[in-house]
Formats: sequence, C-alpha cells, structure tokens
Amino acid sequence: MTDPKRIIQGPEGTLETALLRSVRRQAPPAQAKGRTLALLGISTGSAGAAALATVSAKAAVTAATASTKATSAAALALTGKWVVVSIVGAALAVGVAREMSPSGNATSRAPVASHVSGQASPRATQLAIATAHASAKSAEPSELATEVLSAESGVSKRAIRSFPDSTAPEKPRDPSNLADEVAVLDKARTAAVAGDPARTLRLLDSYQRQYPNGNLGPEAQLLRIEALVQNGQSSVALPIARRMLKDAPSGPHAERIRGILPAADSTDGESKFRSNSAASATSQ
Amino acid sequence: MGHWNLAIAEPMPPNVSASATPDTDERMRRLVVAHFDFVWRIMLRFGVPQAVAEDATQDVFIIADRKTRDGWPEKEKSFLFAIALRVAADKRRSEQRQPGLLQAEAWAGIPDEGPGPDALVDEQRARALMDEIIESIPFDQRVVFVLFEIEDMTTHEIADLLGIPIGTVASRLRRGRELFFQEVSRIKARCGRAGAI
Repeated sequence: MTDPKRIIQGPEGTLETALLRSVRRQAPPAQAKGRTLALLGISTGSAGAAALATVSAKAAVTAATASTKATSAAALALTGKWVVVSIVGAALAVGVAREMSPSGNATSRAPVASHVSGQASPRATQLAIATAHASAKSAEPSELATEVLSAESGVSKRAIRSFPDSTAPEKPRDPSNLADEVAVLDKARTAAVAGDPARTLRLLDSYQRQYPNGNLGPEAQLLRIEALVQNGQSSVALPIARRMLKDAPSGPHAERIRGILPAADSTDGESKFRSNSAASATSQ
Repeated sequence: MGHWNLAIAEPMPPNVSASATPDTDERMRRLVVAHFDFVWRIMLRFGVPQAVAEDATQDVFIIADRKTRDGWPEKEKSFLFAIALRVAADKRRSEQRQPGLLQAEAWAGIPDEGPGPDALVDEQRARALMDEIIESIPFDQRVVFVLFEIEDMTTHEIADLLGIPIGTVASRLRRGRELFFQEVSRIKARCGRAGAI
C-alpha cells in the first residue's frame, strides 16, 4: 500500500500547510536531553556540562521576578517540611538575582526572565532558591558510615563508594552542577511526595553517584532520611540523622532532624517509628 | 477535551533479567538521545503545555528506565509512545484538578527559535490553532494523524508502532484528515479569510 501524499506537501501558503509547519518545527530546548540524562544518572558528556552554566545563570535571573513563584515553589517542598528553609532561600534568591542585575533593578529584567524560564524547565525558580540556599549555608561535613548503608538500605555500592568521608577535608564544590543537582533532587522530592520511597532512594543514589561533593548534599541526606523512614528502614535512617545533627547542630535541617530523633531514642522508639512510617506510607 | 481512551497497550519488555550495568546505561542514553524530541512533541500534541513538556518527557524516561530494568523492549519507540500517552493523560488530569498550575506556567512556553516578535506571535497563534484542531479529532484518529502528518512516519511504521493492521491505520488517517480539513474550513470561515493566519 502506498502512503497518501502528506498535507504538508500541498500548495505553499495555505492555512493547512502553515498550521502543520508551525508544529513540525517545534523542538525541545537544546539542553533538555542533557538534563534528562543527568536525572537518570547517565553520563551527559560535554553537552550536559554546557547546559549547566547556562541554566544556573538563567535561574538567577528568573528569581528576580519570581517572588510569587518562589512562594509556590516553597509550597511544593516536601509536605511543608522544607518550607522554612525554602522561604529563607527564596528571599535570598531574590537578593542574589538583584546583585546579578547590572542595573541593580531586578524588576527591569522581567521580560528576559520570562523568556528564559520558557527555555529551562519550570523548576528554574526552585533552582534559584537552591542556589541562594546553597550559597548561604556553611559547608556542612556530611554523611554517614557507608557500612551502615550498604548493610541495610540497599543503596547501590557504586553510590556508597562515592559518599564523602566526614573525617576527610571537604572537597571544593562545583556551583556549575547546581542545575542538574536541583533537577535530580526535585524528582526525588516529587517521588517522596507521591509515596514512592524506593524511587526516591534510587534517585538519591543517582544524585550521590554523580555529585559526591554536591552543593545540596545535606538536602539530599535529609530527603534520604525521610525516604528511608517512609520505606520502613528507620534503623538505617537514624544513624544518618544523628550524624547530621552531630555535624551541624544548628544547621538548617537540625530542627527537622530533631523532630525525627526523639521517637527513636526512646526504648521502644524503633517500633514506634516503624509504626509511624507505615502509617505515613499507607496514607500517601 | 473528551474522554481519554488509551486503547494502546503498553508493550511489556520481554521477560529477560537485566540489572543496571554500563551497557544498560548506554542503551538508556541512546534511547534518550534518539527519542527525546519525539516524546517531547507527543506531549505537546496531547495536551501538555510547553512549559511543563520537559518535565513530562523526563517522567517518561524515568518510567522507561524503571521498566527496562526487567528487560529491554523489542520496540523502543512503541514502548516510549505508550508511556508518553499515559504521562500526557496524567498531566492533563492534573491540570483539570489544579487548573492554575499548568496554565499559569503556559506563559513561559515561548519557543526557543529566534524569530522576531511578529513572527513569534504568528507562530504561537498557528500552534495554538493547530492544537485546538488536533484536540477536536477523536483520540484514535488523532494518534494516527499526528504520527503521519507531524511526525512523518509511514503508515507501515504507524501500524507497527500501534500494533494494529495497516488498513486500520489508513482508515483512521483518512478520517483524521477529513476532520482536520473540516476544522480548518471552520477556522477560515471564522477568520474571514483563507490562505493566511
């Protein structure tokens, strides 16, 4: 059977061909593939690396006009748990963007900001928040004993190998990774909200594998703790939580972590914790 | 938009055990590189605003990544297409529940090509009209119409992708095109002129 002639092959200048041509020309943003590959934990090559610096810059500009969007982004934070942090971050993001504006007048960049946010994903605002947040926080020695994770959590060995040693001097962090870092964590957060802790942990493994010295290490760790609890692995989550609290007793996540610890510190804390986690998972 | 009748069965990967290896990473990378644009355009043609099309496309590949851990699909494009339709339907449902969420972001859906403002407006208007027309075509015919007229697939390829006889593809295409021309005529009448937007 021979295919019929396509409409687009008809006479030039007709409405039919103009309409079809308009949608056939559509293509995703040039860096979208790189961002997706990064999200999947697959090497992005030079294309992905090139994407990052551009997106980071765009996000900062976007933040200048995004104070209301930033509030929405904060609302998307994991069931309100990160709201305080996000709001502080949003305020800082606006400040950062104002500093980046040559005129010092952030609102004058509005048309540019709206355009670039169309090219990047709508997560640009969240990225801006994270940028400000990451720059505002002090370096927090992170993480946990890899043995605990490997034994109980099912975290991939590849990911565990890349976990930084909290006793080692912290390596310099690379701010150009921020766009992809936020994208991965955003997906992990979405999975957590959707009640899929296994996927959350997998995405966090991907994050850890790609960014062993990432800008958002503590945020990833907090999310990991919550996902482990959600997944009924509170015995794995608790040492991580304790370590984070010990390392950064007044860090931005300390209050949230303190909310997790008491239940576990009591004699029957573990079973209570498991019970709460199960209830939480069921309700989602 | 009417009822979403996702009659296309999602092809299941063959029952072959496969764990995450550098090899599967490479296959996944190739899958993204080869089909990302296709999936992204399918999102747009099936009701996902451009502002969130990238996110939706990422969802498709995340789902594909998870599913392919149980084995690699024989027909990659069919596999992705079925997932894409489901993700698009989910996004549409989400939009209906929270109408502000996607629509508020639609302002950001400016194409990244670089025409001037007038051309941009015309381009956007043409796309909006085209999406309106496509949405008016019943789902089964719309799928075939989009794949043939926009994605440039042959009827054989479409039959293979959808797992339906080629005669069915041909009849759905014929009906889809009739509806397309009807809608264009209606738009021409509405605009009071033909041959230009």
